[in-house]
This record gives sequence, C-alpha cells and structure tokens, in this order.
Amino acid sequence: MWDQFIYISIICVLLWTLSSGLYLTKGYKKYASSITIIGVLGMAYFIISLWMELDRPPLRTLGETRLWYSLFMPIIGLIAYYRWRYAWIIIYSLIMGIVFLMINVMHPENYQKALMPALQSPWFVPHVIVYIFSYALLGGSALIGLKGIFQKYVQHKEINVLYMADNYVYIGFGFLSLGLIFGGLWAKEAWGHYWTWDPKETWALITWLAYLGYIHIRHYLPKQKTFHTLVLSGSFILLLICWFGLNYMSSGLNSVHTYSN
Amino acid sequence: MSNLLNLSPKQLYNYKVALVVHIALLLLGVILQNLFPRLTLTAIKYPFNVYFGLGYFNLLLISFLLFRKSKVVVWFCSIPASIVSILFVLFYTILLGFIPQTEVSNNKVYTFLGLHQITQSIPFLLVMFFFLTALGFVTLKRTIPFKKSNIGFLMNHFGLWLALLAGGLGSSDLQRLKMYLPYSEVVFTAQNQNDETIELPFAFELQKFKMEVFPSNIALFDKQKGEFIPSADNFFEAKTGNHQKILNFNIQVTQYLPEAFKGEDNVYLTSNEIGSTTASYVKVIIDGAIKEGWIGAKNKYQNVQTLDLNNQYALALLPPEPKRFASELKVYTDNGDPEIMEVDVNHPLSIKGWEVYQFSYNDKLGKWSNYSIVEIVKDPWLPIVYFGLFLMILGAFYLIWKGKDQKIIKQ
Repeated sequence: MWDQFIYISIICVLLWTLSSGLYLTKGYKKYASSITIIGVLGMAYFIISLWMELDRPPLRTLGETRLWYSLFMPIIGLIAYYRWRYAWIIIYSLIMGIVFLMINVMHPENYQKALMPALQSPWFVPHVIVYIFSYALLGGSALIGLKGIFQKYVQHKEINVLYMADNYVYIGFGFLSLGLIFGGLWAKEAWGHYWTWDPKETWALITWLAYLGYIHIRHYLPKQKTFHTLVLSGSFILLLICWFGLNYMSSGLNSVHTYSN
Repeated sequence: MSNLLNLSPKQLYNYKVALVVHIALLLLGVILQNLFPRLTLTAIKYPFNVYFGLGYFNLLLISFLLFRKSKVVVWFCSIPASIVSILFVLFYTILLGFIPQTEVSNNKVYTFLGLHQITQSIPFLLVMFFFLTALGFVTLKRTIPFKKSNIGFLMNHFGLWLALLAGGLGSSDLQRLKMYLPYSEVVFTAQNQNDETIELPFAFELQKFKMEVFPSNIALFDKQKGEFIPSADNFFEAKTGNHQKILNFNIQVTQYLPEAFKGEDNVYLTSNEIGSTTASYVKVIIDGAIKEGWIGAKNKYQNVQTLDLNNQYALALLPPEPKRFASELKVYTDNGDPEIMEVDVNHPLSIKGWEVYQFSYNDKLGKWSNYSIVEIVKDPWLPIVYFGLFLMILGAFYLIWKGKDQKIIKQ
C-alpha cells in the first residue's frame, strides 16, 4: 500500500494547496471546503486500505501515526473554520497536514519504524493533535501581541488589536487544557500516575498557568493593554521553552519526553 | 509598574493586600518548614485527609453562606486575590522548572527555602492552599445563585478545584510499590520508595517475561554514500515468503529465523540461546542473475552480516524493534484458584484495588531476563481526580466552542 502513498500525497498536496488559495479568494470560498474534503476522503481511503492490508489499525509506526495527523488536521481545521471563520486556521491545518505528508514522503524509513511500547497508545494521536492546534492559536495570539507592542512603542498609537487575540487565546487555551489532561490520562496508563512532575509536565503546566494568568488579567483589567501585550508575548516565550528549550536544560534531561534511544 | 497597570487607588490597594498576604504565607511557610522539617502534605493520611477535605469544604461553604458580604470572603472572591494567586503559583512552578529537584541538596539556601523539593515544601503548599481557597470561593460565588450562563465557568473552575484538592489530599494515600519477581517464586510483598516491605492481599509468580519484537526489516544499503537508500519500498519485513522490488533488485525472503546464531561459513542456525539474533536467507535477482545468502542483524553478541549485491549496494537486516514488554503472571488471591494474567506496557492489570504495571527487567539479558519488576499502584482518590478532569475536559470544549464573549469586556 505504501507504494501508492506518493500518489495520494501528490493529490492531497495539490487539492489542499488549491483550497488554501481559494479560502483567500473572494467568491470562491464555498468551493474551497469541498476540495479540502475530497483530499480528506483520499487520506481516509488510504488509511482504510492500509488498515485492511495490515489487518490491524495503522498506529504502530511513526509513519503510520503521521497519517492520522494528516487526516485529522484538516477535519478539525474545517470544524474550526465553520465555527469561527478564521481562514488562517484552516489554511494552517492544511499546511500542517501537507507537512506531515511530506515528512512521510521524504523519510520512508519511518513507515517501518515501530513506536516503542510506551508510545503504543490510543492517546498518542489526540495528545499531539490538540497540542498542534493549541500552539498554532497561541502562536497567532503572540503575533497579535507583538503587533500591539509595535503599535504602542513604534507607532505611538493606541493598541487596538487585542480583541483579535481573545478568541485565539480562549480556543488555544481550551486545546492546551485538553493536551495537558490527555497527557495525564495517558501517563496513568503507561507510567502508573497521571502527574509526576516530569520536566515536560512541569513546563506544560507553566505554559498553562501563564495563559490562565493572561485570561484573568485580560478579562478583569481590560484597560491595561500594554501590560496585556507584554504578558501575551511572555507567555509564548514560556510555551517555546516548553516546546523546544527543554531539551537543552539540565532539569529536562530525565524527561520521558526525550526519546534518545 | 502601577503606572503600567493603570490601576485605580482602590484596585491598587487590593493588589497590595494580596501581595502582602502571599509574602506573609511564604515567610510563615519557611519558618514552619525549618521548625518542623518533617511536616509535609503526605503526613496527613487516611482517614484524616478525608476529615480534612470534608472539614475544609464545609468551612468554605458555611463561611460563604454566612459571611458572604464580609470583607474577608469578598476579598477572597476578588480579582486581585485570584490574579496574584495565579501569578504566585506560576512563579513557584517556574522555580520547579529551573531547579533540579533532589531529595537532599548541598545548597543551603535551597534547603532553607525548601527549593530542592518544592512540591513537598511548606511555602509551596501554602501558596497552593491559598489558590485552592480563592478558587473555591470564586466557584461558590458563581454557583449560588445558580445561573445557566455560568455552566462553562463552573466546569472549569470546580473541575480544577476538585482535581487539585483530591490530588493533593490523596497524595498521602497514593502507594507506588515495586515487586521484584524472579522466575518461579511466589512473591506476596513489595517495596515502597523507602525500601520498606509491604505485605499484599495477593501474590504473583512470574511464569514468563516476554520481550516480543517485530520481525526485522530488510533494507538496501548504499555503501558509497554510507546510508540506507530512501525509497518508499525500502525497508520491508523479513518474513518468510515476503518479496519486494527495490531499484532493479528483486528480493525474495526464502527463510526468516527470529532466533539464530551464525555458524560456520556464515550460515545461520536456529537457536534461542542468550545472544541469538534475527537472520534471513535471501535470494536476489539482478538483471537475470541470482545472488543469494544469509543476512543477520547486529546485537550485543553478534556482528552484522550483509549481502553484497554489487559495488554500490548491499542488503542488510536491521535489528528488530521491541513490540511489547510483558510478564505472564500466576496470580494468587484468596478467592479461588490462581489465575494466569499478562501485564503489558500501556496495559495495566487491576487486582484487588491495585493497578499493576510492567516496570522493568534485566536489560543486560534482554528477552532472556531472569526476572521482571512490576510496579503496583493504589490511588483511592483517583475517581474523584478523574471526575474533576472530566469536568475540565467539558470546560475545555466549552471554551473552544464559545471563545471569548466580547460583551463581557468592559472596554
């Protein structure tokens, strides 16, 4: 089945690139979603065929898990689009879907690279997907925060963009909470306890608390916009430490999230 | 800072009070900790943690109902208390993120402040206790009187409150024990973290430790570039009868031995002795010509065996990847005959209120390990924590669906 993967990938990449363009084009948005869905159906067809060929759910190898990302990213992106009408979030989901396809195309060895037993869990895919969405939305909010700082300190204008970030933060925070809780539920099954202050967990909690603080500050101190922009950008820095920086910190060395073997 | 925050004098006063209260809590915590170094949360065990939890809940509820208008309750429900509390919990968690946590520390400042074991330290517990109390009061404020529009708020706030309270109070009743299980020995005790032996209401006898692997993959190696060729068809399972075309090589697996040793003339023979590896006999058709021979995977005891196809390419067998670590156990309980059960990574067993996890084995011997270690966990408070988390999941969906209600922002 993997020999047909390249064709499915090309079809999906073309369809999703086309629909991304259409989402940005006035008058054509209604076609964009149909084209996205055709790509999704193509992915679903591939996964089902692979499932039947393998006679087991394709969740055993790295390459197989990435197929599910490419399936679910556009689906959740579409739902988010219909709920919120943010063209960028559906385009982002499609791009991420494409990225995961490309990773598989370029690293075929991943098709056969089995996940270590602790990772063989139904929580793997949902845990990663909700974090991808969360980071996208919070990243979007951080950019708005930067724009606010720019307005205040460079243009010396009133900050007037923060309301745009509000929904991003709420939705992103919702996904962030789901990621944290899914991680806990998974940890209970795999390692015996839902919370062990593993360095990655600690930093995920730091990120979560920072956005929790932002939400409350923003909600209850609505006039302090300069402060909001600073907290928003600062929170994203904590998120980046959690995401990438941890691998470089001495306290992060023993994390179960470093799969050095 | 006050200029940046643009606060009214009254707001500023409330923030200052919250700040002073937190600093006082930290000082009190440090003093208590150094006066009573053994005082930790885990000192309150069942049933006292249940009494404490119920008493605490009732105290919150009664003080809210009776003194709702009092200065203290109003202040606990206030925004400054919430925000300062969140920031202090955040501050402490950031310390946790930077300071490596150890049982003892050479750093005297850390020891004095309890920073080497933050989650057990009294200042941290007091900060968390304040957080919980403020969260509790805020939850009550939105619950009484009940309004439908508060449902999302309540799922998030009450869910977090419940999960934190149950998780915190339950930590003293959480037992995580290790059972060392050599072959064919009935074990009815386990060791806790302090190496004390605990007797159990069941016994295990290790029947077999299983380390199962997936079949090895065959891959084409580019000798000149020193890498495996990146093609969609490269890497296929070396099962007997499998065949695959990579580049212009028609590869056929005639035989696959999951456990083998290399004998004379590079011929592999089946053997499940310690150190055995995977091997395949392969036939490769290259432009009509046939090349065949054994290939074998490398492990700690045996070298890799490849098959040269031409000047550029060789066929190799990759070391198999682990599929599962599991222990087959004979389980003795007082209700009837012993039962055979299997405990697998990611698939714990439930026996008499304990969860059983595959934890470790003798990794020097790998699948020939002469023992298995299982971890057994009892967490009677888990259902309450999970109920809180379940509410938070619903609350998260609510946030995702509703977003931020712009009407509420008083611009």
